[in-house]
Amino acid sequence: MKKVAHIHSSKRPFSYPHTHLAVIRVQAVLVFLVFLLLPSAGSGTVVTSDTTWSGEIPVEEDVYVPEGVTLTISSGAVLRISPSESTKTEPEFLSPQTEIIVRGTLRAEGEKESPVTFLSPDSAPSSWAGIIIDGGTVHLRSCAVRDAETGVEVIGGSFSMTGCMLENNRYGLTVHGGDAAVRVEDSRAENNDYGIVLLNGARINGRDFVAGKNRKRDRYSGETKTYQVSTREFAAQKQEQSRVYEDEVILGTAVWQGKIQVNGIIRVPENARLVIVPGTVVEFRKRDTNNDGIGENGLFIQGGFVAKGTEDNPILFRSAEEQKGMSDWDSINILNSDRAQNLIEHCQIENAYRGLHFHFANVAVRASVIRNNYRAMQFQESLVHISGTHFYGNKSVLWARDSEIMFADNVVFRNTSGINLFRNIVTLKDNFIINNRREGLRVREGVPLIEENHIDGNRYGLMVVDAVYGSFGRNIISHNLEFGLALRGTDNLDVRGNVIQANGLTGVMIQKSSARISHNLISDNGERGIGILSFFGTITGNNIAGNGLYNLGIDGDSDVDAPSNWWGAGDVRSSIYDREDDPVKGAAHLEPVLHRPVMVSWPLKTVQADSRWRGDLVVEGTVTVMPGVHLAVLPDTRVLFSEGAGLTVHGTIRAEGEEDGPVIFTAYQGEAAGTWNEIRLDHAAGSLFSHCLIEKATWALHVHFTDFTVEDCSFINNYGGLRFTSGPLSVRHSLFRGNEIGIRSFRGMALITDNVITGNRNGIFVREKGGGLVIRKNNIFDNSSYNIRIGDFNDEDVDARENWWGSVTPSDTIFDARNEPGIGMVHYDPYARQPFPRAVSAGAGGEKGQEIKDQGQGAEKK
Amino acid sequence: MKYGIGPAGRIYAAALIVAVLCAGPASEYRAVYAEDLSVLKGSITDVRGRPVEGAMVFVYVNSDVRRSAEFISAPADAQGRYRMTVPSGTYWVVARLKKTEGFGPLMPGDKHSGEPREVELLVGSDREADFVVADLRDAISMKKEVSDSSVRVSGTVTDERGSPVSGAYVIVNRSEEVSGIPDFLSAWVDDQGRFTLYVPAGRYFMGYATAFPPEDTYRITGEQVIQDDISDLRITVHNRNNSLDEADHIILK
Repeated sequence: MKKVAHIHSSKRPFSYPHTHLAVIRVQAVLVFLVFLLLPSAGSGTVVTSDTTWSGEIPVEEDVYVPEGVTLTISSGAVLRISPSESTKTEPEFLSPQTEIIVRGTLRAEGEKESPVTFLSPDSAPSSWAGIIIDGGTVHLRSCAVRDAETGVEVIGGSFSMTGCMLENNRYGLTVHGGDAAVRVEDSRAENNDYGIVLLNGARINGRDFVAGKNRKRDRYSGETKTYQVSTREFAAQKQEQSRVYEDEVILGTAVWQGKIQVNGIIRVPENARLVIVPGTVVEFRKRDTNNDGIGENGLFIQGGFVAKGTEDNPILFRSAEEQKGMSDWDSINILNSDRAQNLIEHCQIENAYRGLHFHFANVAVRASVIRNNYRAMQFQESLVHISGTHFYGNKSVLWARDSEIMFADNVVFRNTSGINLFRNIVTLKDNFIINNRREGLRVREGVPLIEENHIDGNRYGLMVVDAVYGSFGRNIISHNLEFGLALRGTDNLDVRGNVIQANGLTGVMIQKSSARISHNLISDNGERGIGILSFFGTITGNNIAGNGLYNLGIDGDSDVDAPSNWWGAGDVRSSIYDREDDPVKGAAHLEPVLHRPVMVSWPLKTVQADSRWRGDLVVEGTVTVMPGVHLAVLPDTRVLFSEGAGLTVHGTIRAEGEEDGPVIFTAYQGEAAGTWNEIRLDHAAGSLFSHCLIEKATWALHVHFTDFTVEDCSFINNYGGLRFTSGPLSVRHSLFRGNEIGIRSFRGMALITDNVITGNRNGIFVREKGGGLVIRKNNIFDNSSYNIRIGDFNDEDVDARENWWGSVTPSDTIFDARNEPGIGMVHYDPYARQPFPRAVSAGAGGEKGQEIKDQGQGAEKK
Repeated sequence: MKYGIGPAGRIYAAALIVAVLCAGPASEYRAVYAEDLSVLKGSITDVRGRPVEGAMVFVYVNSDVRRSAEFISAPADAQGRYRMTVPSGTYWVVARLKKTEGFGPLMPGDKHSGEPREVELLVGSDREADFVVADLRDAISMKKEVSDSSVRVSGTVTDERGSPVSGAYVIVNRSEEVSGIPDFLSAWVDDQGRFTLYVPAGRYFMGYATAFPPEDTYRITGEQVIQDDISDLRITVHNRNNSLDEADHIILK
């Protein structure tokens, strides 16, 4: 365990970096240096050899059982774990609270008459973190684990429990993922908030594990979808060993290239500079003098550091061991180096304890990969710009304090914990924070500006604690297993324009906070849209609808002001839990209630995770639904496109309106056809448009290579209605009216039935290869140029029999080989003499194909 | 690089530091008689040191200031001065400029003094407490200093048509000839051609390079005295054959 983290007080006030007195800074540097050059020691208790504990054991600091070591706890032992919530920085720990973390083996060997007890002297839930199993093995026999955040949390490894009680914790037992081996017999989880939590396919084997009398739920399970995230990975070039370094000090400017092996600590003092050129591989031997499992070799930079790789010739920093493991080496430490910007570009950093570690430094990290480290990055009192970098497979991604940070355009994917920020001035923008086992992003104090990030599929999405200022805008926070956004002890926050959707339990959880929450879409969360313990701000101008139990739930005794929100269709009060349900709760003041949705803009340029659009959504540019992603557009939704905007779908879209609640795709402003661009489907198999009205587009639907259905839709006042290549498409019972072209086929395969195609310039235009079309039982009439026009490049005949063409001779309304020899024929005979009655009702909502008037006398066939 | 807050910002930060350093357990409000009263007074300024007329001081009996205050001052006068009489005791105090009544989130134009400040008011004595209030934009835009001796230089690298140039970075060197690694260099420019670098103030030769190490790909064509931050430096690559290697000079503006 590194002492490095203890040069600061955890009670430091909000302040700005680099304004400290010089003497403090020098002291900090010296202390840092002393600690860095010492082998790992420990602020917590590191169990470095097999050990047995018995009797009364006060636990005042974290306990770490590293790999290869067994801690045995004898029967009758009582571990009294001191409550604390600190800002500890050591990457080997996972919780801000006092924890027992096991990567080796823990055996608690209680007996029925003399159990082993883990508890807090305070006897309050969540007083300590609990027993965390992170790849180790834990056997509990006749134990009681109480008063913890999570009695036992299994992140990975093996856990067995017999004759035990988990009680008075927030969570009794939590298991992450299907890889952990968990066996429980004859045990109970009682009087916790949640008894048993199984996440992402976790399973428990055994018998007689009873979860009962828990305050919120006895059992909860949640699973996230794993999306296709193309994580970057750099490959090393084959290199001959060019140099081996032991403990050394570099003077002047040293340039590393080729393959470098480091067997010690390389120190780069002030005024010296280490430069690493593209294609270099730097490998560190593991040296672990204190047997805590953490390597000690690394770089210690007090001068300048430039590692400037390129996309084609990246620089790699990694373990030199044959079996490479996390924490084989220490870190790239940069200390007191803020005159020039240190550069780390196109680098891959792996197998470290802390990949990058800065104090008082100015550093840019660009287009790099930081993976499979205990912690990817940690810094304080620094100016750091991180962009275009992929973080994955780390135990934690980022811990930062008292710094100015720009964190943009990064991918944070499948780490144990995500980003943890304490008292920084930070801008996070355009990041993708997804599928991290614990929190995605945690912000404590400071001035955060969190914009246009996608935070999806983590256990907890975004946690904000004690922040006095902050802006959280245009983020998508979705599919997190428990909650999306949590505010605790915040003030003056602006939470605006976010989509907070489909989180497992609660969309927005608020405790003792003040914020302005406006223009958000908060929907489809498992239990509550917004859950409030105590709140003193305003909730106004939001769409809060379709949440599992309640759109708004008040658990505290204070009233909540939530005027001018849209709560979805149906009875509003039934979606609110407040004093009307329980007289000791606060009252929700909802008036005035909006009966139409507020316009909320889709915040990002992509739809990266399954989404449900409801209410009024504004699309400001071209939004792309990514491959593998499903977009559902719910009944009564309006999608309003800004000028030139559009939607491109590479996943699937299912826009399913209802007879009396169509989905409407229209222009945000303007009435003319072509005001907005198009909905384009490209390899979007399985998509469906049903009961939709699409108007004022350039092309309402533009479809390529997609198995796709359109039914009961209206395409009105567009340049073109439906344009497609390939297929197969089924287009039925829809209305095409007032477009330049109703339907355009290019090498298309489609069954077009029961539609009304009228009032367009050309009803159907067959550009090329029309032999794949079957056009049946449609009313195709009164199109000003042609009902069907065959294009100059189409040399195939088109099957358009059994349609009604109006009261005129069909051939007069068709342009084909009869008009221009060499192009295909339209086979329209036999044809109907009367409109098809089913087609009369074609279309969506109030737009029906009823313009047929009295043109037919009966559906006679010739 | 100048990255510090100005004098007002320093006051603001200092006030916050003091407030938090002094933070301690809450004391409860107790009933008082007239002779137990104390006076709290002072000034309220913005981050530029200007008085904030209309701002008010909110006094709480514990550190939970996300609720209705026990006492609220009258609005500050045109000089930003306020004065209020409250029972003696220990309080947590914030200043706010709010267009609406009471506490709650900042609306556009509202300002706030940050973390509550603990103030002990003794019987019969006056206590001065000054506050600096800021809105979110002020707070976020406060600049800080990494080092007094460095300045931040940023801008874009474009071709003659103004299009961003990729695959380049900016170099800053004390001599016109670069031998090995330049004294200072930026990261590779982004897809908009943007760059940032940090250098001690001084006189430099500037240019760009397209490979690292630069070897013969670099061009130094401009000389620049850099004293303060520069945010819009434009480096135009005059490109005869549509190739960076053929660029012959850079115009520094």
